[in-house]
Amino acid sequence: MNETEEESCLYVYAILNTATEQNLGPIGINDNPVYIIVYKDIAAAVHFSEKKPEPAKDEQQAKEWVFSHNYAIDKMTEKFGTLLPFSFGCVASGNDETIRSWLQKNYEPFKNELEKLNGTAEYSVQIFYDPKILTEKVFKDNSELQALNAKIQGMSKGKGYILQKQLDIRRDQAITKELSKLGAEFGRAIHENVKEMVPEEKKSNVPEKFKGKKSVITLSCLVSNENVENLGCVLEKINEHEGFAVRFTGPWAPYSFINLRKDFEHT
Amino acid sequence: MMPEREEDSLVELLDRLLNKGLVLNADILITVAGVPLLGLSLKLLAAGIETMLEYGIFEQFDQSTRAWALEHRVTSPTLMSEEKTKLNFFGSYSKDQGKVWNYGYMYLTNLRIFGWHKAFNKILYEIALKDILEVVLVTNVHEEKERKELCIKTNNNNVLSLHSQNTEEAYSALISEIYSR
Repeated sequence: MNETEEESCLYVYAILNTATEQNLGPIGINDNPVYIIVYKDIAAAVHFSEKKPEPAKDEQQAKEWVFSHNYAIDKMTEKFGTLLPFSFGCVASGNDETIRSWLQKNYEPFKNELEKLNGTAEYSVQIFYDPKILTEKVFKDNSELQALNAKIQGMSKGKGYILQKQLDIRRDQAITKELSKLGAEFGRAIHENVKEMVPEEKKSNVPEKFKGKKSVITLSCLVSNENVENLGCVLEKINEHEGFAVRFTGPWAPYSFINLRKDFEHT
Repeated sequence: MMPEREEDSLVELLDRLLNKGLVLNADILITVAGVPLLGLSLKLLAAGIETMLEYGIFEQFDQSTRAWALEHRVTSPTLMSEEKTKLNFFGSYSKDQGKVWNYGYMYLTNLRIFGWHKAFNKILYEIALKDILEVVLVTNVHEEKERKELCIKTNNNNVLSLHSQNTEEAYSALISEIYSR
């Protein structure tokens, strides 16, 4: 144990396709030089690291690190094509040999995964709706709601209260129904143009640009390079739908689509 | 429409870089240093306040960090058959009328409302919808600020208080779920 503690450590960025040992220059966090450790035709991109790297001194520096980690990933994607990105802050204990034997041990799953992801990238699709516009639309299309609303208008506040609650519930149900109908329609159209997609479960934040709108769904999509334009067209159509807006970001390294857990965790 | 990589996508970047991507096999990983390296505030920015729970665990550079890092991708609680999630959100709950608040992921399904601790995959509390007597939205003062809280009274006279970013939404979803039974 003590022996390994004396050893060097390596900060790991990604697994990628190449058979050539090389230096990529100071593209790493804090301008660390990133280099490549090869086993057969796959490789790991790393920089030298302390065992317990100093934490960021302030938020500004932390942000820079996040951006430079991502910058390094982008640069490597440009050079080597689709890669398997690591989480931020993965430090391995050991030297080049440790990494090499680790690549050797996991060669099959890594290689398969690289092949599967070849020629694709990850994109994020967020669909928003404007609750006001959708409420109006639901009212316009639903005579039952209109009738209920008219009834309430003629009543005293106290009498109308229960009906108003009922109206609110029915209106919300109508909105939910409308949303799930359109959601399914949008989902199908998107699905035709992606290899894989996963809904993001976490409530995603609504960026400033879409203020006042609510998120319908956020999808991470794995898209073949030749299909990005088609997907863009589909999203354009959704974006033109009254009351809806789409945010389309990417390309990202395929963070959400690396599927190695089965092979990888039990070694 | 073309995909963009906007200036403001730091949040998105953080979500990907911190919550996704590979981690090393336990035998050579010494640290998933995401949080300690970045500091708390940026991590919170990445995920609202939801990762506060995870932060406490992430802090240690030891065995449990590795195990946890590999396991922490449990993304949802186990539901009963026929059970469907209607709404889930991160929030806080109190079992003693607001004296002590704890954080968790709240799940409203067609059968029950419950709190779930993601890191430990543990149910924090649960109430069957059929046992709910009364649901009220109240305004309370919490840390010198007014805010809406949701009070759920059950037929054995327990009261559970809930709070989230959007308590009203939770309220109306719960009401409509109870009504539609």
